[in-house]
Amino acid sequence: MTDQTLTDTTGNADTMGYWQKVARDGPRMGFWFVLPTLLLLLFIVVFPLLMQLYLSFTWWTPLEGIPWYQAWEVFNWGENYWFMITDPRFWGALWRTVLIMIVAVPAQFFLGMALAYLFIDKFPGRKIFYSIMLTPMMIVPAVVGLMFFLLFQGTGPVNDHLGLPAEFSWLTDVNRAMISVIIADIWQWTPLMFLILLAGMLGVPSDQLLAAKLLGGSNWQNFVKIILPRMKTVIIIALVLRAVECFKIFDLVFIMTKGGPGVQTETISVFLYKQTFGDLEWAYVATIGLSILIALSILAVKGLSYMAKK
Amino acid sequence: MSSKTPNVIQPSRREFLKSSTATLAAAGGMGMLGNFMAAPAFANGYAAGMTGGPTGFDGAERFQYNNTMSEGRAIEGIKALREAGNVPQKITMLLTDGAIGQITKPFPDGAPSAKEVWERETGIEIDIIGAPAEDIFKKVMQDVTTGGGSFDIYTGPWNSTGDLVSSGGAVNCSDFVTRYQPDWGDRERGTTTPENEKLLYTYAGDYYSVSLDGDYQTWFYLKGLYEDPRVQEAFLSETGAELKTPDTWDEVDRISKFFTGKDFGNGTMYGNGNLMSPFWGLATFYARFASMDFPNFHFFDAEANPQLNTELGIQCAEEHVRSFEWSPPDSLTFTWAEAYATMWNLLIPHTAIYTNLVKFGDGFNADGTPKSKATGMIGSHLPVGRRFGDKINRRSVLYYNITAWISSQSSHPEAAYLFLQWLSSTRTYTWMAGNPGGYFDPFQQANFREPLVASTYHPYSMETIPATIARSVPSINFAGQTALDNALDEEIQAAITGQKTAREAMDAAQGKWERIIKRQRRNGIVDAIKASRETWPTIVDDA
Repeated sequence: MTDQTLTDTTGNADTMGYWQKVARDGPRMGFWFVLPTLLLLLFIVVFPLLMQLYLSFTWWTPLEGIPWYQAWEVFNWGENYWFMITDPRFWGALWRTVLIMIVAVPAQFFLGMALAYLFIDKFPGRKIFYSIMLTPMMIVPAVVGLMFFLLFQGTGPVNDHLGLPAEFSWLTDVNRAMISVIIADIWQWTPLMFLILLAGMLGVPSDQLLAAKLLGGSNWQNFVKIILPRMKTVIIIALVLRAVECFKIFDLVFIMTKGGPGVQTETISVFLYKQTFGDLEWAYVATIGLSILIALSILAVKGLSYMAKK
Repeated sequence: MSSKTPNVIQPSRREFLKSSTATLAAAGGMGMLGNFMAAPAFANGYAAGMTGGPTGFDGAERFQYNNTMSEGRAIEGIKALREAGNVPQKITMLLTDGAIGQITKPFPDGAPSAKEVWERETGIEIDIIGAPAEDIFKKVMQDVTTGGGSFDIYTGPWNSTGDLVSSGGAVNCSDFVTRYQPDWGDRERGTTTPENEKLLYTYAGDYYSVSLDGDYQTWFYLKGLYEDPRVQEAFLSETGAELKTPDTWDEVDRISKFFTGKDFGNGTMYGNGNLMSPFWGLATFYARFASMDFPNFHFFDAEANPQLNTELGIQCAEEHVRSFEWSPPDSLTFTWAEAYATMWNLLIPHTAIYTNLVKFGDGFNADGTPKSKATGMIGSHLPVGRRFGDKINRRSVLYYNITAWISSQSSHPEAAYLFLQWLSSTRTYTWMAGNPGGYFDPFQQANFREPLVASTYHPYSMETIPATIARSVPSINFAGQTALDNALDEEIQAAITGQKTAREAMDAAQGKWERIIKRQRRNGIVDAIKASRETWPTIVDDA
């Protein structure tokens, strides 16, 4: 920057230096810099949402033989929304997803917490056990699905070990199919919970625990009064992470039961998949997708504001 | 190729080479070499008058062709396209993974693969992408709807033709058919009837699909077990009737009930070997359904109304659900592969299933070991039906049936069509159907006269399969098929697993079908249903 440009305070652009102009036009320049990214974001986020909204008010399917943007030809005045509200299969799938979530996630949490507690102290072979513990979550979910599909066959190892007859069917029984899926999910994702919770536990200051012990606190008291409060954030993160993942559960269910028998293990993801690529009801899927997005967004906002107040 | 194969036209390749060497020497000596070399076809190992096809094994001449034949016209078509500069370097085909070997593996010993023959004669590479049979149509629709254009040729279930055509994903091949005259409908070599040709290759009056399969559910049984005196005696004392292959569904159920829980030295048996699982089990239901009335009980009435919750429909569902009592415990998770294994392990007495059951499970491996425990024990019989006076309406069903379509996104649809014509014409297809490397099944008349096919599908199938074809009804193949099948399938599974009664399930399925039809009405579903009714067979047998 030259002396001339530094002393020029008239705002004459011709006499201003390059960086001075940049400084003056800062906000406007910033806008132009981020505009491409904004446009890209708009395209990635807003456009699909608008497309989804548009399709959700039509009967359009790929079978129409017309491109999606001409879906107005089969406009249906929101009938898809009414159909969704009255569709027992949709509500059933939603309920089953929630059921898996409210059973599997707490089970994973308690198991993970117990295991993490065991792993705080050093013991011989800790590293080996640690590695073994983490193995399930490193396996591709589809492979886990196949493993449990084989394990739970009537003539499979589970029945063999439990001394159950081949007729004792897991995956084709109305109730046991869901139990099988939940067991598989717990087996695979408890290690993740364990990992997060262990990290949280190791973050608790050891001097506080030591002080509590010296003052006569029992292990249980230490756990409840010191460890748990200190881990609050980590626990919330772990639970939210698993709950969100559980809501999207697909691979395990699809490989193990394909949502069956009937629709007894059909989760919302499996239901949407079948509607999309099986029944080709894309407009209806758009309706459901959009509704779930809105519902979850409201829940998230409520949850965040609640947490902020706390 | 077996040594029993008659070689009526030309000596074997070895004999030919042996004699031709001597002839060449003599001809050269006599100054006739130039004239002899002017017969390129003969010089390349083809039979006299033939210009293309496989070579290198006894009987290869039966699969060779010239330009007056369907395959030859396809090759000539490619040559013409090449001259016009309109051929691709490569044709990409999406194919069910279990069928790939039939195109890519040489068969029999000494022969090239079908792929090699095509590439040798046309210079166009065939790139095959595999996908599981159950999921392949999802991949097709992904390609159609995303405009991916990844394939020149799609394959998938024949049932999905209507959905694909409605989506605009398939090329109308009627002009190509007119121009190149495939022999699909040849009355001597091709499909059994004009109706059958219409069913397999056309949709709404136009040519869209090319059949590469014969998925007519065919009845197989453990002949060795049925003929075992111990079994016959036990059956007689328990049921009061002689054990023989069933003619009716009632007899099927009686035999199924008898065998369930019995052990004749191979482990505890289950009487019902028919497919009952989601997706695959629909074929069993449809076959039973079709024979509920005389001569047919259609899925839809003449006005295209579903007939699921009629008294006959409900009765069919009840029978179907009851048959699950006699099925292997895990049968609701079976695909055709696991179902095959139950018969190969002698755990079921009979099944109506895809014909390659015997291709893969009856006979001997190259090392002389039997392919399964069932080797030498399997027999086949006509479809079952119901007695109406002195007649029986034996019915089977065409379900799945690998079918090819030209992608509307292909940049070389004509070349892709010509490859399909070449592959599906009666000489090439017959050769390929005999190949044990995959599950394209025989369905053309020429297939059933071919020793190579008989050697893999066994002589006992060579009469029952065509007889089954003649008695088979089409399953659903019009637009909305996937949704219709899925809706029914879910309700049947709900009934089988006790969540609903058969009546409740059929009521629910009826409601779903009516809704789907209502929504698809504007896509011509009613006309398609009416057209489908006309392709049902009317043949009945004496009781």
